[in-house]
Amino acid sequence: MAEKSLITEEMRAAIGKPLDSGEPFPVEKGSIKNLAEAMNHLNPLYLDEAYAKSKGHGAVVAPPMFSTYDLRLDAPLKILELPFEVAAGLHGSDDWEFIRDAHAGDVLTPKGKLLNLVEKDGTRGRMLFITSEITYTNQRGEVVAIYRPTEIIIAK
Amino acid sequence: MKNPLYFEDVVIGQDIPHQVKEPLTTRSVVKWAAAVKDFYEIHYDKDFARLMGMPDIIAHGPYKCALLSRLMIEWIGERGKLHKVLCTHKASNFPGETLVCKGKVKSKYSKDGKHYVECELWVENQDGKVAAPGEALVSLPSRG
Repeated sequence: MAEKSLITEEMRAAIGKPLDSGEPFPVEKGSIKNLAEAMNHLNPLYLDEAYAKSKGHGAVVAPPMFSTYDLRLDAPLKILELPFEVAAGLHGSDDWEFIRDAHAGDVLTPKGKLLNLVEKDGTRGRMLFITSEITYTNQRGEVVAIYRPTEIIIAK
Repeated sequence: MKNPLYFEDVVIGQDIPHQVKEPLTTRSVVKWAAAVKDFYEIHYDKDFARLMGMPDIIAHGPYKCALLSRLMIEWIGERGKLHKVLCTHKASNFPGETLVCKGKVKSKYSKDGKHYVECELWVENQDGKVAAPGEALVSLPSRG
């Protein structure tokens, strides 16, 4: 292909580099309830403290995707200088690994890195696929979840 | 309470005997936006969505993935464990559509004392148009 690549050498060198994926955030009972209601998943483990305790949990459990709270999907664009004009951005895919439960009262710390850059030709033109990896750790330093979202940037 | 689902009950190739159906409304999309603090305008500002080439506001991709996780958690029950879920976003969905989450059992195996089931999952709309195909890995208790 004669066209110039959407991925410059500087961009390629950024693979593996850290991303600003956000500050530590508390897992609050009210936020758990909001998320459970937003996905209409009224699981008593998420909503009823007495029930959660009867099942051996210290507090209500957060739905597995609670970590997505206040997510910065645009973090890679802060460290990448794109050599093309952007026509549109799309959320391409989600990939979650759940290691252990998070509970109300925990504090989660997101730590992101740029995982991969791929270019493709699609029906809407040339596209850049940006995959990042965010590892969420609790206040005891235990990994709770690993999230690998891919954003698609369509070139003008 | 439902009877727990055991590893031995699961047959490779079977449909998951549970579905999640959620009608999409502007309200439901905004509820998700607020719950996760994702305030990208394409999810609540129709004028902005039109500038982006969409006929209306669109549902969040991670919301669809969350509904797939709900499908698995409701199916496997409290004694099961969800380890992985992933999906690719192939089509946008708009208020007025209904999201339907379905799945099939792809394989099952035991490893290091755990009993895993791999599933193929997807989100389709009310007309059967697939919007987000994906996969999940769960583990289940064994009777053995």
